[in-house]
Amino acid sequence: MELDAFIRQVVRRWYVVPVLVAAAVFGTWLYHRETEESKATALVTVLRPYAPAPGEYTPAQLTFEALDESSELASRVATRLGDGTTAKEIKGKTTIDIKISTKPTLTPLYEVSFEDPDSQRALLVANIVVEEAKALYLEINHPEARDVRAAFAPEVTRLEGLVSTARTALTAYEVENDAYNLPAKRDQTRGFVNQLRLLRLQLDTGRVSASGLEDGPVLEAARRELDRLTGLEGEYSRLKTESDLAQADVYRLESRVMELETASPAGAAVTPYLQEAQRQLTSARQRFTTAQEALTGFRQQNGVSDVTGSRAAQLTLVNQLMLGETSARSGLSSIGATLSREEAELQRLESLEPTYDVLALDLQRAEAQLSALQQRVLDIIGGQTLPIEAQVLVLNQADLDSNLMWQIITYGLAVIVALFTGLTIIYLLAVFDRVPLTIREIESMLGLPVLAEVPQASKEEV
Amino acid sequence: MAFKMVEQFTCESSFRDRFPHPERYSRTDRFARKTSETDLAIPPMYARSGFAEQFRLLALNVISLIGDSPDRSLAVFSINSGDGRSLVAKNLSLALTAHSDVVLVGNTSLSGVHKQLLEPFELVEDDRALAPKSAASHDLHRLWLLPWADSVGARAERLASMTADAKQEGQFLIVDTPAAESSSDAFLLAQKCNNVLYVMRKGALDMEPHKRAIEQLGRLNARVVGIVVNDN
Repeated sequence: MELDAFIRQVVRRWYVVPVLVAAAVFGTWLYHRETEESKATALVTVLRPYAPAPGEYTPAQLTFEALDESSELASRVATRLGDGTTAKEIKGKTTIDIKISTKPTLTPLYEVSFEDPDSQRALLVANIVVEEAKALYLEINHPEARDVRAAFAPEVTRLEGLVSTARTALTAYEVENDAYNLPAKRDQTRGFVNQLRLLRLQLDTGRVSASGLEDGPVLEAARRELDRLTGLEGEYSRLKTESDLAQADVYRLESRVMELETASPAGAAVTPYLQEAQRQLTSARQRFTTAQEALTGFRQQNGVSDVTGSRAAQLTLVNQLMLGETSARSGLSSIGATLSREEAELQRLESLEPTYDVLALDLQRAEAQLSALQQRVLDIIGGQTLPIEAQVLVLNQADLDSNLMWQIITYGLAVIVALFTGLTIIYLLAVFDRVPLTIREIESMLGLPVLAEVPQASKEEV
Repeated sequence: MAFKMVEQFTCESSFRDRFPHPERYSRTDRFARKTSETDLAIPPMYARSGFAEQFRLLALNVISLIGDSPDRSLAVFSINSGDGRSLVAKNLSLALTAHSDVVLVGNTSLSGVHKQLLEPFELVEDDRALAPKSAASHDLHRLWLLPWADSVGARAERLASMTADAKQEGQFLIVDTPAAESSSDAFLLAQKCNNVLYVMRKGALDMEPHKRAIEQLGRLNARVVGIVVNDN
């Protein structure tokens, strides 16, 4: 169909387009009236949602925008509402999307939206969704103590092995060289040597008599006690260390619980962490109590409260008794022999020191690493690396979104579709037109006047 | 002559019924006693019918368009058979008789003479000789036939002669042409008449054939004075 012919058809059936446009506008209005829902949106940000800091424990994380797929979230919101709304209905109207912004941000922004025909209800539910999403996000992404321990178990085992190896090597060295607690023994020997030197000097000058120094049975008893204390020192040291570590955990967790109890703002987000910290504190207290009981039992069983101190005191006593006995029994000449023997012993002990220091340092390093790792595990379990107040921040509470743009788009589309449909209908009507041309159209198309239009006549007339 | 002239038939009473005119009544009353509708076999055209009014209006238009011209010949032209050329030619002629003398020129074709034209007449000698059915005479109307069997040149020559006679006597010469789709004589007669009244059937959907026909008439210097749309 030629353009001018089509234009004539449009002019002839001009009413088709306005009618269709009116119908489309009315239909769009009806659509908005029946289906339009208010949309309330809150703005939320999550710090470090994807990449934890270097060295931090990295659990499998559920990102914040994925929470709208969670039936658990919908179920919690439905429970909070308590008005018969089902979780399925909540889920279908809830969206959490990353906000697309032209401004570069290091932390993504999330839009939490809820749609409802009632604008006030949309606002209410949107805020509830934000609160529950925040709580659920923190719960999901907080590491379980069992998972944390399982994750660190290989490293803990390795460090425990290192500690055991170092301790075994050191103990073996001490046994082999009769050098248990070498520094103390060296100091004690050095002190004994000094006392011998002083005694010889006093005998040389006649300041003391050798008659009052003999005490043989007492020395033997003191030596037996010293040997007993030396045998107890290893077990005592282990029990004391366990007790000290448990006590340190108790102090740290008490501080953590106090911090969470005074956290602001307190709320559902804090509660899980507080409960976890309290549970760990209870456990640490139990460990501490057990260690204390074991240590107390050990002390009562062996009749000594501080094995290390008692042994040092006993060693000093033995040295003094040995000194007195030597002086009484041998006189000046014997002192010289004893001094020579002790000086040789001191020299031997001092020669052991470099190797002993290396072994002791290895043990100390391994124990420090193990202790640090255990502390880190406890910190992660206690939530120290996931500060709950800093993870999810609500930047804007829920507010109603404007749907003006959507209305403009729908009305515009309706008008455009109506226009095209109208023109198409006019075209089809023109193609399949069986309506006779009017007199005006005939005159217009042929360019001649119609002088008469002969109507249908009766048979008699024609 | 290859055609026969039918002289001066009268159908005055029928004209009066169809196209009553105050001035004509006085002239025709004297014939009313002599003639009757039955005699003329022309159905009465009621004065106030839409049919009669349209032809009266058409006659006035024709008079307005070519009445002042010395050449008052008018070809009634259409493309298709059955468009109503003879109907228009006859009734236009009848309507024009209220104002002036009219000569109606018929045209025989392969299918014979259109009965619309023959209705007021009857054969008197052979199939080409026509005379009014009524014995009464009248000087307002004559019917000429241009036989198909004649050559084109003879028909053109005869029409030219009739046009000259009508021009001389100040008569309207109304020529009923054959359908243009079946005979190019339609264009020939239209060219000889100078003026053309274009007839088309009401309800036409496609104007292209009409456009081409009117363009063709324009190339033949035949002036199309207007259109008659026929709903019969």
